[in-house]
Amino acid sequence: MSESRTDASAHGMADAARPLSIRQSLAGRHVFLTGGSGFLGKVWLSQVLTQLPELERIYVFLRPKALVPARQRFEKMINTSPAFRPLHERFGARLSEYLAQRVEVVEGELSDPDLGLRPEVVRRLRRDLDVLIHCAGLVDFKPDLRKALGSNVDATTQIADFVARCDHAALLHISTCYVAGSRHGQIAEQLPDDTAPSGEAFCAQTELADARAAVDAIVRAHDHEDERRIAREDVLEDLQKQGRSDQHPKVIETLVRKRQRERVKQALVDEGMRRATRWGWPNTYTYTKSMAERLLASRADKLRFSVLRPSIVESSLEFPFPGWNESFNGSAPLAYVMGTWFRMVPAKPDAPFDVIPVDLVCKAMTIAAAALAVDRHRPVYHIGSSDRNRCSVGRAAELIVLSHRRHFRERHRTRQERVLKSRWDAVLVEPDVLMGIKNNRAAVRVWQEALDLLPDKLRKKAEPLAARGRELDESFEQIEMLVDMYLPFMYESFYVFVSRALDTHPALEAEFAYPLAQLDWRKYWLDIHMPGLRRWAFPLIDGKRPERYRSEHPVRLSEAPVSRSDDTSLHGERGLHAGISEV
Amino acid sequence: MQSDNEKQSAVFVRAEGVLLARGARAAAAYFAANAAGFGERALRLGHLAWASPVYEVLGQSDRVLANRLAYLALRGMSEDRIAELAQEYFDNILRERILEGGLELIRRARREGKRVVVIADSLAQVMAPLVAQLRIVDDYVCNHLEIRDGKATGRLVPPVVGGHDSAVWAATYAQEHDLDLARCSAYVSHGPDLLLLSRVGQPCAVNPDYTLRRAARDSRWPVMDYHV
Repeated sequence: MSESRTDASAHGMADAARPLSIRQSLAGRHVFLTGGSGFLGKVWLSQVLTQLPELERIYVFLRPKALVPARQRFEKMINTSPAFRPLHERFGARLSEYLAQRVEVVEGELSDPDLGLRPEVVRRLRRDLDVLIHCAGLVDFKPDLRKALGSNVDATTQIADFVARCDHAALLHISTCYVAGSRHGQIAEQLPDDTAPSGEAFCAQTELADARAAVDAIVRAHDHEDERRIAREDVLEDLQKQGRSDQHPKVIETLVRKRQRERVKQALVDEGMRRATRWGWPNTYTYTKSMAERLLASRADKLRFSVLRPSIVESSLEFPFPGWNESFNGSAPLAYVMGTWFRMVPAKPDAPFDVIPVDLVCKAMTIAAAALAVDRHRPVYHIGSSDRNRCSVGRAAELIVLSHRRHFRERHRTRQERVLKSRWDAVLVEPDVLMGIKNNRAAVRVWQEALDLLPDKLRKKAEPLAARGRELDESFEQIEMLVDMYLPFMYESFYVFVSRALDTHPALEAEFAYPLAQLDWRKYWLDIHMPGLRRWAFPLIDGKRPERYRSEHPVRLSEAPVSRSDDTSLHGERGLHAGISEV
Repeated sequence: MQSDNEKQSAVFVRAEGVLLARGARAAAAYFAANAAGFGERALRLGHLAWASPVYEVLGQSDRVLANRLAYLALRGMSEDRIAELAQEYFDNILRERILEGGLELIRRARREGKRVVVIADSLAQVMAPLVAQLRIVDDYVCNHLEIRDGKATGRLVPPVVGGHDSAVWAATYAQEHDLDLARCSAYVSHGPDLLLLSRVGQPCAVNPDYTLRRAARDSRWPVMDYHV
């Protein structure tokens, strides 16, 4: 049985550097996972189910989606996601039976009281639960503020309340290193204090109330006759431009409502970014995640918890297999763009590019969960590479370029790719460089305006050129958005995330060791990460469906264990809380 | 201590000219032509262009300075790019330019029970895949670029291979491995290897340059010519 909590507490931090037996610490424990269908959650689930049979029970929290119950979503996930390949390979036809013993799928709504779980499940969890790992979150950098507050803040506070009401449970909250905001220097493994990255005093409760009020005001303002008129005028103008002005009034009405929704959403996206940048965060994601951490910190006296902050989570090093990736917010879009004809990437070559393989993050999660289970946890764990084994932006860019070069030379589809594109290296530049994206866009616009000035006859003949110009403009617009999104991480901030907390209780078992210091970045980028992106992430960017796993023995769980509260009175107000997705 | 009769023998082979039809300058040119960015490529190739005649002249008497000049073109290039380009250079260029005549000399030496030692002006990154593929080389010595903060400084780590020191190096190697130099052979192709040839019992000039050919004729060393 596991190390006694009382004994461990008695040792306190004095024995903090003593290795921790992960198997002993987690043996017989009940662990609850949110965000189990996300990139990180899936790999963690697969890893512990494959490597840690000592865990007594894993509660996988999933929301029903589009009338598909959580259990069915879970089965589909296990049967089709490549992340679970090792599990199928290990258990084969016995996997359903194994999962039935180990896993309980629970259904609910995270931003509801008691997570929207059925009362009997709540009672059982309050009695049995040891660690709740909260992985769920909206990882979109520029989301609608309403959704971001619901998913990243409200869900976390509900979870904290739930854990606080459990008999002995602790919370492992998965956050991000980038809650540090736009600043420079070393970022310590500490809970946030009452200042924002801008240096101003910051109270999360007050800010949350203000943000909610702003959301309500925007929603109210857009539910106005003037807004409706503007939306209608926009729609009619667009239809006229497309030569489709003879649409049925019902169609027009539908389009107007859709346009109104889009306008509300855009206003909420803008409000999120405005508030984030006003306080010194680069985007709404990091702003809301930081608020969640601050709200947790304010409950430190009533709650046993750790915050685990990964940096940029990237392709797996080994588990479930080298190169597994389904993350959109990491280096994938940037790496993709660097393989196109666009060459000028604004970035500071010396700034750290803090990436970390997903399976290392999952190992760290398991170690931190084990430490929580035996009261040897630290308040904050940074899981990044900039402190221990730094890879600079310049080096990452060079390795991306070299990978594209290798790819175009070995697997070229055209001679142009082999001869020219393989040598068309992207280079890092200052944002205002002459051939930068902004000037490229301006040049395309001038080109389009020049075409517009042509006489009618010539203009018709030049239509293919104009169409090409429009295509280019669209591509450049997407690249510009991408560049803006990455600029805070690659150009504006220069920070090193101190990552030492995990060393205070290193895993005793070799299979849970955290080998970041030995990671060879060249091998990782060229042989693992970039081929992984090419296989799993780039098809998504191209709008293609990536490969799916096809298990020989599809998992079928029995109907019984899945449960959700039917009592809507427990759910509370749900207007603001739609749309939780997973990391 | 073994007696001279019991000592092992070895064959010292100069990679460039005997085993490979391409030298250090060709490798440096490949790296330069594939540097990051068009401007950088032009600058590096420009450097090699002016260094080339100097290399040609110096190479006949002392290749140390010649090699230093050639590899200076790699200054500021990332270690990652050098490693990737080296593998690429080997796969696409060098693999096709391994000389069958040189391979035959090595095979014959191995059949005679000799230890095979290759001396190369080339960089370690280029030599590693070559040696791994050949699998008939016991040891090799080559040049190493100095790397600082992940980038080449353009300097070679001393001792730089390519000069008259190859004779000293071979003598030290023989001592360390208990070899009898009088029973060793050497196949070299450059003027600076004269001293090495004079130290071994069975010298042979292979595809020699002007300086070495003249010295071989004067010293009555055998000369082999095969297609380079």
